[in-house]
Amino acid sequence: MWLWREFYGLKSAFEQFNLQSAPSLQLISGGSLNTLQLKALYLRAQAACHPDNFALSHQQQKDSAARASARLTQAYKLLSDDLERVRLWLDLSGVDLEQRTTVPDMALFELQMELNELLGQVKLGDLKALSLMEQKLEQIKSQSMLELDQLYTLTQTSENKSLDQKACLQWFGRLAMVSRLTAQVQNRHYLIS
Amino acid sequence: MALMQIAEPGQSPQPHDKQLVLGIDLGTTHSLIAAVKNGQPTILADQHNHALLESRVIYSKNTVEVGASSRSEQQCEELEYVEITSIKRFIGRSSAEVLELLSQYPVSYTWDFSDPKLPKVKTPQGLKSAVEISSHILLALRQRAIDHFNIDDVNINKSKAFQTVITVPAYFDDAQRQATYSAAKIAGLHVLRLINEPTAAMLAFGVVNNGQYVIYDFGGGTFDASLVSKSDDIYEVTATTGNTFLGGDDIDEAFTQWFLARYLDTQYSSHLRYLIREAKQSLSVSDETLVLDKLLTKENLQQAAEPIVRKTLDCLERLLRDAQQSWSNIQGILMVGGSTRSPMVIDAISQATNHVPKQEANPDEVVALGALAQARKMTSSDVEHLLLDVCPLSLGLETMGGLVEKIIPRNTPIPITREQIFTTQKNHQSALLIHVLQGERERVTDCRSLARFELRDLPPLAAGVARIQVQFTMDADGLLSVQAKELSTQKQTSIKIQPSQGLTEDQLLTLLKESQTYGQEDVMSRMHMTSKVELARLIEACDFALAEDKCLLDEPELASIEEVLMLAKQSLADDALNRQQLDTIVAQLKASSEPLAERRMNNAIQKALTGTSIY
Repeated sequence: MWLWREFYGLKSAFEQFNLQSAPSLQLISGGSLNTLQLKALYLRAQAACHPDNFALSHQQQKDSAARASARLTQAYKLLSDDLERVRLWLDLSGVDLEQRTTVPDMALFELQMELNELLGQVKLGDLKALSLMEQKLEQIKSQSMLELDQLYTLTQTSENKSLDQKACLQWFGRLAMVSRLTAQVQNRHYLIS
Repeated sequence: MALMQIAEPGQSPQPHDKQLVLGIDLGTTHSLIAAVKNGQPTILADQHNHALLESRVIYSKNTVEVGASSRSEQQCEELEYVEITSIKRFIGRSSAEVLELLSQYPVSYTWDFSDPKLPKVKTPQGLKSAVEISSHILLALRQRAIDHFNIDDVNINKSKAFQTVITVPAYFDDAQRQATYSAAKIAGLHVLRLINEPTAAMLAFGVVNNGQYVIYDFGGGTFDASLVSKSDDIYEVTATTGNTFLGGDDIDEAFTQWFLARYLDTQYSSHLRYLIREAKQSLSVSDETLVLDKLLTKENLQQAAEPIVRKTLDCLERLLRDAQQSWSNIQGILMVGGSTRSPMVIDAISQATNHVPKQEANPDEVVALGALAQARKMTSSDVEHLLLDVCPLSLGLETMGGLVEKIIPRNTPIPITREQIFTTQKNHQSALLIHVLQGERERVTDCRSLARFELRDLPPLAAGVARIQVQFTMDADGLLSVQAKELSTQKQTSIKIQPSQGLTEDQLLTLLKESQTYGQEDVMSRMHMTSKVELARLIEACDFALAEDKCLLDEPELASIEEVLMLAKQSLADDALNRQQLDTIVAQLKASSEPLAERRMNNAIQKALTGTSIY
């Protein structure tokens, strides 16, 4: 039934925190993020609109506080998630993420096969193997983030301000895969304990 | 924060209104109530100075008693009565679930399972649901407040006389939270918020230093563990886990079983369990004790309880993994709940974590005091903390192949809204079934079904063309609502989750009407909230908002809202209008003032973001 899905509201996530209009904050540079700064912003905004502060107000105000606070959490969660944040950044930088599905990345495909097989071999309850798997995924992730950061830095320093689309898609594809597999590994961890 | 607190004139308490601000810990074995007395947050005791109220409800033909069993004399045995304990284990559960639980936790009272959604206990006064039984415990606590503060009958019936925060186990699911809410309503309490027990404990524990704290909450029937990060006045829960079937009760049961296995000539009885429980308590201060002339030692207890304590330690490990933290980053482990009095528990934690558990707070009272702290925060501007909790269990939708697609993963901060877009699978598909589930497992059958609803009359479109936006919202009470909207037609269906188990709205209304104690005023407003009152309140709110923030609207918007407002004021004065007409005006005014309300909120957020103060 669910042929495709997409997240809503990513654009507004940036707007929520005024990230475009306040570039001096440097909250986003390529893949990395100043998590502490984002968090400080989040808490400050939350303190202003949390429904706990409106318990005695009119229902309409209560409702709009609840909505604002919920939206804020959504924005914060999306921006703190590495994959979602990179997706948003690439999208805003004009990289066509849909292309990823049309241009096959054979290296990624092979890597994925390899990791899937590895995960398939991990026996239920084998904590050590799971941790190894986690480490491997972490490695791929930090490499991808680093590469994306460099791609961003290039646009800042070179004459040509545009991003290398193909390279972006390549690293984004790896991030997406890692994120999917990490969720699976964590879920296994959870079910064991 | 205090600046944002805008009390609408119509809602601010009148000087002659006596409003009580209360914190309630509704526990499996004991319950407590706290209020500010003589300027001090205090646990309200009964006339015998007992702070703890046993969560025991005794139904006889004509009376309902709550608390310690007073019928020690034999002659009372002749009277027909039913004594109900540990009802919290069963609240918000379906007949099938209760049936399954009973195999593990036998009780002395009998159940009726004729309603699959709402199992009931057989009592001399008829069948009673867990919600009703719990409401009696809440009523008994409320009575303590009435006695302590000499509230007269007039004020008791005011709808918001009892402003209450009630605690629930962090690991309570949606149905259990809804059920607790309903019980409070029936008991005539105005619920400001449901908060999680370990989070409440954190608020009242009195830790001074900032940092990460683990709250180990081991009560009579439930175990919860939460990781809270404290940064001055901000308490942010980062992860929570637990087991709603793990508590001191289970240690009693395990020790009883141990005893039976060792001394084969004894029979299982509730009396034996009582003796064993006493023995357990005395073994936390002495090394040995006697039960039925048999010598029991500390080591015996340790042996029997080890598997249960082990389970709590496993939960702690899971908590740290979820939060991606290690014990060396933890500032302290706070001990909450009666079961943490046991030296055995303390030793086990010290060994497993290398931390000396903090026992500075009274483990029985700290949760109720935390609930009170939250209630005060919500009703006055003197208390300025910000509490950010998380949702304990993942929420998702059923997808193809009986799998669950997670929409809100566990440990997501609340309140939160999350949207996802789905499409149809077949050409001209006209309806879409939305099945909402809660739990961590991947298969639908392993998760708990919260609700099913259908989005009907979809426009006839080719497969994959329709765009259906499903929005999950979890509010600050941890309660879920789901909205679905077909985007091309804007056809909308929304539900406040009606749990697959528990009371229906009708059943709740009936109970409210029946309950003598429920504020009459509130029943009135609930049953047929006079549209006039609603209109008057809304007009007040709009006037207030306009006076402050007129500048947020452009000319046509301002003109439109002022026009509707004028019309609304005329309607309010016009006695000839019927209810339906008034409702139309209310809806109009709401719609036209909505942008203003939203913008005011956004404005406040932007102000907070650009301000110089750093939290």
